[in-house]
Amino acid sequence: MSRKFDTVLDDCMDLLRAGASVEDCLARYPEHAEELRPLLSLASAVKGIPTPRPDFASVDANRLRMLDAVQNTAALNRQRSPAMSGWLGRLVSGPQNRPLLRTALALAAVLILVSLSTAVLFASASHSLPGQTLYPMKRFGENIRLSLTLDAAARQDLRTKFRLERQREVMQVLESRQQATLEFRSTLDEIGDGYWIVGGLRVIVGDDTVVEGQVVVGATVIVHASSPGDGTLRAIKLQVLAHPTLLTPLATVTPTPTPSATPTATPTPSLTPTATPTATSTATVIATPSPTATATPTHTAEPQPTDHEEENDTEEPDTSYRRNPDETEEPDEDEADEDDAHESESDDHPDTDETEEPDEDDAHESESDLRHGTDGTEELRSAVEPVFVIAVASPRSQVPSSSLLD
Amino acid sequence: MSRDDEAQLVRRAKKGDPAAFAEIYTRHHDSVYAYLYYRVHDVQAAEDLTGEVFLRVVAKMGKFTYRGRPILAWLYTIARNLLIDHQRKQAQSGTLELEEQWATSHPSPPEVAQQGLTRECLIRSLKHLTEEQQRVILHKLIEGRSNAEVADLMGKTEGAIKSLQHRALASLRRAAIKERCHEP
Repeated sequence: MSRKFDTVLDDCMDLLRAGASVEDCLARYPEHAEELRPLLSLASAVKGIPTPRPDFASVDANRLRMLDAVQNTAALNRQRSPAMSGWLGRLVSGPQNRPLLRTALALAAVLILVSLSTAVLFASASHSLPGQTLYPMKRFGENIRLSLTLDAAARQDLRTKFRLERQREVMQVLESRQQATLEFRSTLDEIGDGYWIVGGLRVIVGDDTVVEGQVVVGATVIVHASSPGDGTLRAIKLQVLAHPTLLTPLATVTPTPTPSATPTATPTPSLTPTATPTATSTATVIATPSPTATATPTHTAEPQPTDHEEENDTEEPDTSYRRNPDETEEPDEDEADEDDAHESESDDHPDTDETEEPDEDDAHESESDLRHGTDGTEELRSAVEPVFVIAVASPRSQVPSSSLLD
Repeated sequence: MSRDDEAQLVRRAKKGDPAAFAEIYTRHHDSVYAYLYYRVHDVQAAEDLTGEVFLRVVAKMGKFTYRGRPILAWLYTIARNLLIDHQRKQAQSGTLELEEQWATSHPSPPEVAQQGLTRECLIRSLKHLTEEQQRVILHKLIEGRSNAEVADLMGKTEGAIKSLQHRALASLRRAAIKERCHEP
């Protein structure tokens, strides 16, 4: 049965319907006459058989039955709707309202899909690096987490975690030799010819590099740099936030007023090394003011950067150099209050969030480290802290910062 | 009737408009009746079943979704389901097969052959055809619909309808010969 014959037969069926005879069709397709004739004769015979008409009365009766059913259904729906009021009733009642249910379900499905895909997107973004498409989403997610964390200690933990993440990103970008613009914050370890070592990373400093602040080894530096893809880091802008010499002169000045005020304070430095042999970097932070008081001036503080490798992890270097006077006055003040103050600042100036505030937070960290140090430091604390308070509070207002730097 | 008009008609019916149902009934009653008549071979049974079809239309209109296919195609689906139920009930109650009733009250095949193809012969021969072949004979030869209309009703292409028409006619001829009620 070829397709061609199907068409020939269909053409003849159309002719028959239009009033042509079987012979007319056969004359039109003589090559198919033999095959066409029986089929067309049968078709013609079927067409001639009338379908018996139904009784008119029963047709009308059926029509009335149907219209009655329409009325009954409408009445049933009207009864059903008041029984369930509100949107829930409209949602589940009456077949005509099913589309509402479907819409609600579709909406719910879309919401679930959107939530799932957002979660997947953020999860993927968490592994992204600077310069990659999802990286802004990663930072966005971090900011959201920070703003949603109300507990001060937890927020501080997050900030520390994110800061370490920035350093990890830099390492990964350099190792994978990707091209990216980077920003991170760490301690200036070394200044070489055409390069700085910041947080253990070699940053190439060119003629076009913008350097802000007083450049001193040990200071905290915010590095804005580019990775051209050859494994090097080229500084675009270097912002020096704080440097150790701000504190060391204070330490040199302090001995003169302190002995008179607290004569009992002098024996304490000799106690510290023996009392807390297990103390790590926190112990050295405590100890530094006292040796400087006894012997060497400014530069005795600088050897401290030997702890920087550890400081990079614990974020403590700033604390040894930049103490907040408020802290010194009320060291046991509720930290949460101050953190709230930081929070409001960070809201106003999100860009400065990681630059200024963490320093102060770091101070809190070191403070808490001191407080929760080893058991043997109890006496030490009571002895050292008053000395430190006097040392920082009084001379700082008298000595101009420029002279301190000199 | 255009698809837009049909869609509008369905919208009105879904709102419970009696005039919309009345229009559906008027437009499609005869087609549904003919479809059923050539299956049950009985005017009264066909008319009763036709009435049932339209009652089901009222009951199910709320769930019906118009997707551009003719309303009549939906009515045929309802009719076919009712027909199956009807035949099952008949088989369970031991009702005498219509075919048997027909055989006892009608002339013998040789007599029919002499008279040419009768309605009874056609009904008897149609039983040998598949559902689709029966429908294409009904729509094209009895109702006189175009290929496009039949294709729309049966959800097929026009090419498929042409091919189906050819097979249906050939099958019907063989069935009529087998029933010895048609000697072309």
